[in-house]
Amino acid sequence: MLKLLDRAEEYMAVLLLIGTVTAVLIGALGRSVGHPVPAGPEIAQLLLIWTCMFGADLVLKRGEHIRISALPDALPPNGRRLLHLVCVICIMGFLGYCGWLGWLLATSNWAREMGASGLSYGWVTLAFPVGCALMMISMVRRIFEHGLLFAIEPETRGREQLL
Amino acid sequence: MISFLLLCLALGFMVIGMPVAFAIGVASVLYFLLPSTFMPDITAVQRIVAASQSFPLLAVPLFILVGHLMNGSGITPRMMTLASTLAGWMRGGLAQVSLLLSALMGGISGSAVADAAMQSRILGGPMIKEGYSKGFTAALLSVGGLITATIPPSLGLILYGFLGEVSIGRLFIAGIMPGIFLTIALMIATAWISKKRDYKPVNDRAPTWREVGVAVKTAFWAILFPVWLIVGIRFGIFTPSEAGAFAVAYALIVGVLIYRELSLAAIVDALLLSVRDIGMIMLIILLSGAFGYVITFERVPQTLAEITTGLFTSKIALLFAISVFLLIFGMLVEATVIVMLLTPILVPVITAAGVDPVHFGLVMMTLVTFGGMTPPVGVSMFTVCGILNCSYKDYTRELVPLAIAVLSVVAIIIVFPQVVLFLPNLMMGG
Repeated sequence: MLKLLDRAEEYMAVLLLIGTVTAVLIGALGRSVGHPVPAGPEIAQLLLIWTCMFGADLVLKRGEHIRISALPDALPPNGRRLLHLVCVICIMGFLGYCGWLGWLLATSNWAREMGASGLSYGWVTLAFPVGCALMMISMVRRIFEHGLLFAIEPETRGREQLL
Repeated sequence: MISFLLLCLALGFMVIGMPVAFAIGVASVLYFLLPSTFMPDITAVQRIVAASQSFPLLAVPLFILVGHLMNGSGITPRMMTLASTLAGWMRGGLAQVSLLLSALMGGISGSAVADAAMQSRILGGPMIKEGYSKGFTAALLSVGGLITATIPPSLGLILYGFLGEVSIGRLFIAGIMPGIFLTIALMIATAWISKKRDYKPVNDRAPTWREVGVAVKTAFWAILFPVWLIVGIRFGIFTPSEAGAFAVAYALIVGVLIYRELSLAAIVDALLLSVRDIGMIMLIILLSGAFGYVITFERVPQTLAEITTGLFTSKIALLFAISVFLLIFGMLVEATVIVMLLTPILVPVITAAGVDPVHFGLVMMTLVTFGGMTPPVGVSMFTVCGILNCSYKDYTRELVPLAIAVLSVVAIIIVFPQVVLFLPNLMMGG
């Protein structure tokens, strides 16, 4: 069941990315043939923040967010556990508090409309609290499934990174 | 003062191993929680959400996707054929081929680490079998990625342009000359080493025009890509973000219809990898939204600008001082993180001193990206040494001549801004 949901989340994120690309493309094509589609860029930015939050959760699930591991690596496992505990507490506090603020923000300015598409700006803001909630769930799951030692790092290293 | 503490706090969180995005996020939210901050806490979330609502920023996810799609589209082996035709006859043949391949791939990919990883898989084994020392192979393939990251499109420059509010189009065009200079400097260093150690060419003679023509023809669609990208941006046919979307379409068309190597499964894979990369990079960008707001609010850049303009009388001295700092910082901290933290602070400082931010962008990106190739902490180094199973000690020893080549190019760029600026000024006006 959980596996199915994980799979669904991945496809959701991929669909959001496809949507983002398509929206930019439609906007750009419209502009170059002389029929600007002002809603294109707007929708693209809306889908972008959703893509980012889903993507961020997918990465968190795998414990692969960029971090500097030199100090924890130099410590014995118990020291590392302690540092990870500090990190996890701060992250959970951050996600909980900011997620809550984000929810308030989204519900309070639901009436604000985006310029061209007429959609509520709340849809943009909503991505953040939803993302925070997803990440909190994933964090708890990671601690239960992998233990504190691998809460914020993958079990196997060596993944490629950007830049 | 408070903002200085904030910066230390963020760095402190990073040192204890907190993921960088959260280290920045937690530190900036703590600022809003301070009793002395009169802004409501909800402003922090507002800034985080607002950070995503930028059209230029869309270039980042789009070019990440382009990179992953191009990998599966059959462009790499064709570029490889072209590179070995052009450079295989030189002394140290495979090494020169790898540098040329980095330059060619530079027009398609914008990531140093991705290029270094790809080359280690393709060229690493053959080079070591031909008798190149492991350390040299690893160091060369890793540093070659710097060329890829400098030649447009460049992910680092997109980020810099977005955060520093500098024209991404100008930055792209400005990257061409430094990219060529880096290629030449590294090829000279390689030629010198190859002569000393008698590394042999792979082809026994220089290619005929005919052979070059055939190789160019196979790689034609890939070579065309950076050309139309630059031309399109120059003539305002599309903005860099729109270029990203067109590039995605182009990669799909070339991969599926022309080369017929991109399968549906490969496309889904590319999308999935991209979504993860985007999640990772963009979370840092979003959470930096609140951080950047605090930095601006506390007038950090202005204060810093006043101090530095008092300290340094000449632009070149200032640039050299910042460069040394960036190089050392870059050796210790990941490039994305430095760009995220320092671009909003440094761009106003150097602009106040009269340095062109496009010029500075190339200096900064070259140095921090190169920082990823040096010990003690370097993602490129870790990746390449991991793939080739090479010790960091051998790597570091063989890195020295290549590092000298890279740093001389940076010094030339600093002293002669025109090297960087004449192309964008010529193409886009001064």
